[in-house]
Amino acid sequence: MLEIARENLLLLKLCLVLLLIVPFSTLAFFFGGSVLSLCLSITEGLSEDRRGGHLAVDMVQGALLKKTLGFLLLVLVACTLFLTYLIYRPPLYDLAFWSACLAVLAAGIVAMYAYSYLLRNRQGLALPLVIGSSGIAFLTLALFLLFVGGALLLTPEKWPFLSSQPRLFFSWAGVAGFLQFLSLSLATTGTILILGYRYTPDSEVPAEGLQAGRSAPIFMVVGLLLWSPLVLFEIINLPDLALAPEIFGLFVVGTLLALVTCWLGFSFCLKPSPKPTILPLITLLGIFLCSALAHHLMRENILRPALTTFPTLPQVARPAEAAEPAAGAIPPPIPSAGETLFKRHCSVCHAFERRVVGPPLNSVLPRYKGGPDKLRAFVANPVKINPDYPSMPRLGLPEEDIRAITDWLLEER
Amino acid sequence: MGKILFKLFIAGFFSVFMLGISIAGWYWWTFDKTPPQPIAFKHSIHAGQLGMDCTYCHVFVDKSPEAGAPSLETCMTCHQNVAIDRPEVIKVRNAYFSKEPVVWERLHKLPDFIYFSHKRHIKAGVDCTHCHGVIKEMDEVRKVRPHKMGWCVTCHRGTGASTDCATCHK
Repeated sequence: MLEIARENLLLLKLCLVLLLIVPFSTLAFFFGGSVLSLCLSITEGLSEDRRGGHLAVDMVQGALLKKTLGFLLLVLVACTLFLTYLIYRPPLYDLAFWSACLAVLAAGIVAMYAYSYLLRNRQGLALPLVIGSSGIAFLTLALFLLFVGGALLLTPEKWPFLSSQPRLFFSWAGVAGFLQFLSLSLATTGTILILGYRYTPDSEVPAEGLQAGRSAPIFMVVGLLLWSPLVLFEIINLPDLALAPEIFGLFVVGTLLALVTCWLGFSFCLKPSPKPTILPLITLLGIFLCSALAHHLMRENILRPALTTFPTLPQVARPAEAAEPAAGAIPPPIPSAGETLFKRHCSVCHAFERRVVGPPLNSVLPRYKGGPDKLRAFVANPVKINPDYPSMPRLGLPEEDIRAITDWLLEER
Repeated sequence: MGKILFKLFIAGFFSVFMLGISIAGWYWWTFDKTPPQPIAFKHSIHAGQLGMDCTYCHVFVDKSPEAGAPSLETCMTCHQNVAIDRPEVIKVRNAYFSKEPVVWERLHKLPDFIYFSHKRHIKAGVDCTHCHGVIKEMDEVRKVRPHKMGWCVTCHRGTGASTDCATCHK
């Protein structure tokens, strides 16, 4: 599996970006629609004259809360997590943690199904509201864990300490990402409601859903007005290394698209059209695209082996532990002066088994076995011997250092 | 009038944030981005391909608080003869023979009120890569860790090292 992933890395990254746009924009409406539906249920109750509530509740419950969609969303989010692991393989928590996140998300989706079912079958208001509220709480928790957990990908310096210091899970960049999602979910819900709006100009009586349709641009505008400062807040809190000029460009384009979307929504509010307009939805999806691409570039900047490799950190010994070494423990050998000097001055060009800059020492040292003075004289005043190698420079080492090195090379090693 | 004002508000609001993002980008480019070095020294060749030990060039890293940049004499031990036709090596040799110092751009700048000692960390067995990343894989060295107090304290807590204020703030 890992081999196949390595060979098709570019394709997998493309899939990941697409996965971040499609399910997360749908999840945004799922979440925003669920919250709106719950709010309308609370404010308008279940009375027959709730014109505005009908449209929102019907759209969310009838169209989006179809079982296949909820299940599909869960599968797609799981695929996103799996692809992220497959591409970058970050040592971030274990399977149990991410399974728990998905379980909370699944609990939220199931609770919203139950809420929808109870509301449709008129089983009173109290029980659906309790179940709906708990569903929203589950969805919020799952999204918080996913977004803040996802932001940890950009701070690899925290990884070695996450298990011992759980508070490191929290980051302002992650919170900004989560709040951006909430604001975009509000904007998406407003945009979809505009799409579902029906206006009959000949009738004096407002068509069903007119009120919700007219208030839809307000959700959209408020959501996008909240989104822009959150983007700036995220940029300020991102690690320097994650940033690149393209990322700033994408966020500027995203903000420009937010301006256009608001403008379109406002025009719709002033002059409702009998036909649903899809333009705000297209520009909103452009914002999701810009955001997904920018976050992808950030991950690409950070998740490289040069930045994410950590050797084991030494633990500082307590004074008592330091005084009493473990019974039977063999103390590490102390390098001789010759070995230390060799590592410092010679190992840069010479290895024993292979050619580095100079020849492998195992091939030249036998010549000097009987005559250390000859080797000392060569180190003090090198001359070119083998034309395949560059001349050895004169190191200017003191005589005692040369003696220590040659003794170690010829006698001790 | 109200409509025009609202449109103006929307346009102004988003323009402010577009400007804000652009200013953040300018600030990052000017002050936070890794600056180019006067000579494109490749750690990936020296520490990577050749396997040179860090202490060969940074000779003070295990002896003093500062790791130190190598003197040109250190470069010239090899580049008297090795790769002398390469453009970047020619720059090194020119600087050496004209006795002009190479003014390297410092990447890791700590404020004056921080006492940080390389020697203490090396003696404690902390690998260079913890703070500087896998240098041997980098063509151009970049600052890969935040080098801020939160990060230092996290590591000190994780390894059981002292978190007393006076450890770093003398």
